[in-house]
Amino acid sequence: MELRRLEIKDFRGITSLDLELKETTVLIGENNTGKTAVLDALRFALRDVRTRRGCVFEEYDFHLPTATAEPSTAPPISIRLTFREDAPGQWDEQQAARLNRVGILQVGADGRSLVILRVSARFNKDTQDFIQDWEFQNAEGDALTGLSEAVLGIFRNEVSYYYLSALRDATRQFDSRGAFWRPFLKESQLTPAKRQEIESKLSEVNDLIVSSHTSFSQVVSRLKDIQNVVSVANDGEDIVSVEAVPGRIFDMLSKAAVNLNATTGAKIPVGRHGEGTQSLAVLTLFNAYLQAWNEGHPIVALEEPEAHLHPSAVRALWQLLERIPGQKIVSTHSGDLLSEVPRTSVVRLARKGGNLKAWSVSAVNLTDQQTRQFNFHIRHTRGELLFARCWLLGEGETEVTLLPEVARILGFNLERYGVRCVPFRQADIGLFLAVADGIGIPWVVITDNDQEGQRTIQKVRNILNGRNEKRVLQVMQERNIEEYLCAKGFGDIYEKFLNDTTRQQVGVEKGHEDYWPQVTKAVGKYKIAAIHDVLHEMRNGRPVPRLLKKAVVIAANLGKIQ
Amino acid sequence: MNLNFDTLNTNQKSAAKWKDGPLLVLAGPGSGKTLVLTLRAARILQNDPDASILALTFTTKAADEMRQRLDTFMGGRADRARLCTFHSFAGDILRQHGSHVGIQPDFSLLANDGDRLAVLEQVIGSLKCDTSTIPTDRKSLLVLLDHLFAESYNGEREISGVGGRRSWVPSLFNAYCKALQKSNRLDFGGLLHFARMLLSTNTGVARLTKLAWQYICVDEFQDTNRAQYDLLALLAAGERPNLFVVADEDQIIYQWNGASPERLLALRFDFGMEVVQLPENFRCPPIIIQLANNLIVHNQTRSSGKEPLVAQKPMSKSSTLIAEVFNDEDEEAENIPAVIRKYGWNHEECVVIARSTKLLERAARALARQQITPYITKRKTEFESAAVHWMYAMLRLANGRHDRGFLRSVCVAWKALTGLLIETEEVEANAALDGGDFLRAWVRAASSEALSNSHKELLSHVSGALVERLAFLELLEWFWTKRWMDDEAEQEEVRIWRELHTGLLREHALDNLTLHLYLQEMDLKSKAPMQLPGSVRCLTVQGSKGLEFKHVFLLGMAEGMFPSYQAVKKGPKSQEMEEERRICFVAITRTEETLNISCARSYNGYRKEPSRFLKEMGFKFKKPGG
Repeated sequence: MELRRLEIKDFRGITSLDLELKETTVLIGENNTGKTAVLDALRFALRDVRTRRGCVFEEYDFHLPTATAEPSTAPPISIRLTFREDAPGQWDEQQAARLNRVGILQVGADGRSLVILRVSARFNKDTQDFIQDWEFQNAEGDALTGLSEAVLGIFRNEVSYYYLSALRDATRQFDSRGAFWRPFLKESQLTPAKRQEIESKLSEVNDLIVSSHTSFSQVVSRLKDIQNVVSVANDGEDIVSVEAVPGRIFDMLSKAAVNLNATTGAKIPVGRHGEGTQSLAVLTLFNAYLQAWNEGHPIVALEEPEAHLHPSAVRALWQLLERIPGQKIVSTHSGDLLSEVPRTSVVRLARKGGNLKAWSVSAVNLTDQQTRQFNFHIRHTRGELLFARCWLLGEGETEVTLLPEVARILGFNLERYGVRCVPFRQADIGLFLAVADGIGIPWVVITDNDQEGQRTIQKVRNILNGRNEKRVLQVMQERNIEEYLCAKGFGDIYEKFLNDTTRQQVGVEKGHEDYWPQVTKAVGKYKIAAIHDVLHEMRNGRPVPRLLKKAVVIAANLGKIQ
Repeated sequence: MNLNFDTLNTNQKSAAKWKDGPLLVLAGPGSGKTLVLTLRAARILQNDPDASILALTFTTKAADEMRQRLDTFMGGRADRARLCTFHSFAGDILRQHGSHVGIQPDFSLLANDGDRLAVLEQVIGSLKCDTSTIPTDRKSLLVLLDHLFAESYNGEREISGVGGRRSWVPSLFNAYCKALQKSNRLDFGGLLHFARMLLSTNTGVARLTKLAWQYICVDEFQDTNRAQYDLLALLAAGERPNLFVVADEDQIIYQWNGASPERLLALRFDFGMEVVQLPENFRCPPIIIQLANNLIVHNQTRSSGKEPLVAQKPMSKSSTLIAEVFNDEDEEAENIPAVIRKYGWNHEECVVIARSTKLLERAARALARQQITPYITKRKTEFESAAVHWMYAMLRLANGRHDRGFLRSVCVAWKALTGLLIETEEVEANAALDGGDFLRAWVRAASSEALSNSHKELLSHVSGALVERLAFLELLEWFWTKRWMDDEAEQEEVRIWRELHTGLLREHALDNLTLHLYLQEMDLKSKAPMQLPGSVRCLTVQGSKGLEFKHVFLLGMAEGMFPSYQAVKKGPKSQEMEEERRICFVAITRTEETLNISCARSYNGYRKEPSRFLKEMGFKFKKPGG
């Protein structure tokens, strides 16, 4: 069944979150933003809460708004799931019939069927205990009445839900008791005839090994001495036997091991491989399990599938995830994984004003050309940008090299504040600003004042939406950053790069307004080297120009206040 | 469990093995139709793991009986079968999908007329149209509303029949329906009205409801009124629906409630029903079958080809038919205890049946004079003994903790039980300080008074099980084990409550029963006992429907009595006369062994001729004194 909406209230760090879910939803966000809380909320609602008795939520699952807040005074937890058809009649008729018979199926105004489940927990003052509850609702949010207690279980049977946490220990998963491995070992798939055939072959192999292995026969004869001490039935003819090979299929299967060939060709049990390989093996097993055993349309929650994998493996991972059947909800920290994920699947979770909010990239309104630019300049090459808390947008490489170092010199670690410096000249400043606004990333633009810069300024002004232009738009009066640096006291560094030939290109005296433009133009190919020298000077105490300082401080603040 | 079809006769078998498509089973009285219906249901459920069956009945008793049989056949609870009354089913779909027609899932039932009158009074007060012509007899207005509901009236301007040409009817009807919606309370008519509206206006809900119930059965179809028929038609829409209808046009006796012979014709026409007849009768002695066949052929509006009943029960030695003519109604009544004494019949196996309650009351008095306890059944919507009444009121308050009306009932009932007056207003004021929970506030107020030990215990149980936990089933089990007042009525009502309770648990399974559902279902049921131990039941023919008795006394078989005066006035070919004849047919076919049929030469001092039905059955009369 299609889970299309997840609403969470007062659960851990979340006060109120309304999340729209698609066939694939990839949740991105920094650590501690609430990705795990979202997946856990889903697990509570779809698996852990089974009755109205007791409470599977723990004290710290309650939202504690202040440092002194007590779980007993915390607001009630509410997790509300809306399952909905994408088109009327999509759900299997028998399934719809079953859901309607137990009294929980609803019909929307557009004819699409839906089921709404709400799970909640609160502190009961009278019993001084945490209590949980569940209810099915109609579209208006009223609890449906007259339902059997068994309905929750019946409904769970209709929705298969799987959760794979970031910890993927292959030794545990490939054990005969592992949830995804066990079904493959079931002997019930064998016909009785086949089973007999295999068991008799096993017995032959066993006899062969035992008879050709002299140490076994010695053990047998030694053990047969038992009958001289204690009396045993059957005159002790068959009392000792050695099973070199398990005689029953059941024993055989439970010992079935998965080996992966190492580069040398040696067979190595999966549990002895590195963590990345183990993780990948478990994901593959999980996929195989779902392909083989699941019926219907499961809901699959995957936490950080990229864990322990190296970047190119992460990029390949998406193809594996895509093959996992059912609706997927994936949380990730990996920009590399994101580079392969379709744009519309990505949902960014971030705090705003203390509350967790969800921004769906599919909600960002982009033209076709902008979409292409987005895919190329952001998703494929710099997926990690979507994880940022603030974008500091500069025109080109110079700015992007300069600004983080400037910040460091001023005592700010931009990484710590989640500020990413983004060059926008390759694409269109409008695209970056639309994306940033669409997914809730605040930004600061630093630009020069040439013709291109004028257009940039205009575009920024169009999208200000009440923001303070003086804060988010820093304009250098010069035509590029080099001229600006020269004007702000770093001209000597550029002059140093002039040689006899290039000096010819400077046709005016120092002090003339064309002097610095001509110098910087003449030493154009040393731009990056010059920037490194500029930074070196700044480190040695030469003052950082005011505009750069301002841009960095504002960006750091924007990153911090979330 | 293996289903055994071997005991069935050919006709029963062909009905029980019917799978798809519409089938009408014309089943005479005592033809084993319930067995056929449940066997078929069990067979379908066993053969197809996806199949589902909705069986609609006319009474909760019939549904309960069928549920017991089906569970036995299936060897456990059959989850894919819903066996219930039309009203109960309407309640189900409104609970689930009612929001599309403005009904919230937690609606409650307006079961008694007092509450309905209060709603009606309010509605009339707020009407914008000229209300001066609306009759002041509000009870007759309720009857009118019931009639409009039964006829699937939608509040349109043009009305045929009873409401016709009275301009205020549409406004009153519509305002009444709005008031029900607004207060989220429904009466019996409202249940069907809104369920029909829901299924006819919302195609999505209609589609899902049809998906959920592939096989639809109706028992006693002849009793359905227009509203029920329309609901059925919405459930069984489409090509060759799997509609399995059991009916007997010769047993239509609810014309006053909107049932009619034409409906059966409409059914056959609308759905193109195949027909299987079950004329074999396993209940009555052959002589009674003869009488019944003789009688019913005089009706004109029967299905062509309706077969006469065939007696399957062998002739027994005990006397099976006594017909007597008495001088007056007193003599006729006195005869009953005399006969019961003479043959030493078990009182519980006897029944007195008459067309009118007046004759029944007379017979009851005659029985009582001879130390035989009579029992006249009446529909009872509320428990009446003080303790039971109070406990039920408490459940209602627990289900609607902010309802002033429920609170008031609790206070009144508590006064009757303990003599202590707790002021409603005071409880309300105290509740306001504490989240507005009337139940909690009331228990607190009641507990603060000086109480007897047993009442203290009662309140502490209520507080623990109802106020804090809503463990009402546990509370009731405890409550029923105690005696609260020295009152036979209390014991009787506890017994009835337990009986209804057991039936409810069969219908819904224990974990299914929320307090809300429990009360809704209880409100649908009559709290009158079926029988008092050791008594002779006195029933109207309508009340005897679906029952059978070893010894039947049928009184008042005189013109103007049975058939009634109104029917005689309408003439021999009238609808009314035909209905009277069917009523008589139903009355005599209750007999398992002995039928004592009688009339008197005079009733209330007026001379009466013997009923034409006696002659039609084949009785010959000597002229008086001849």
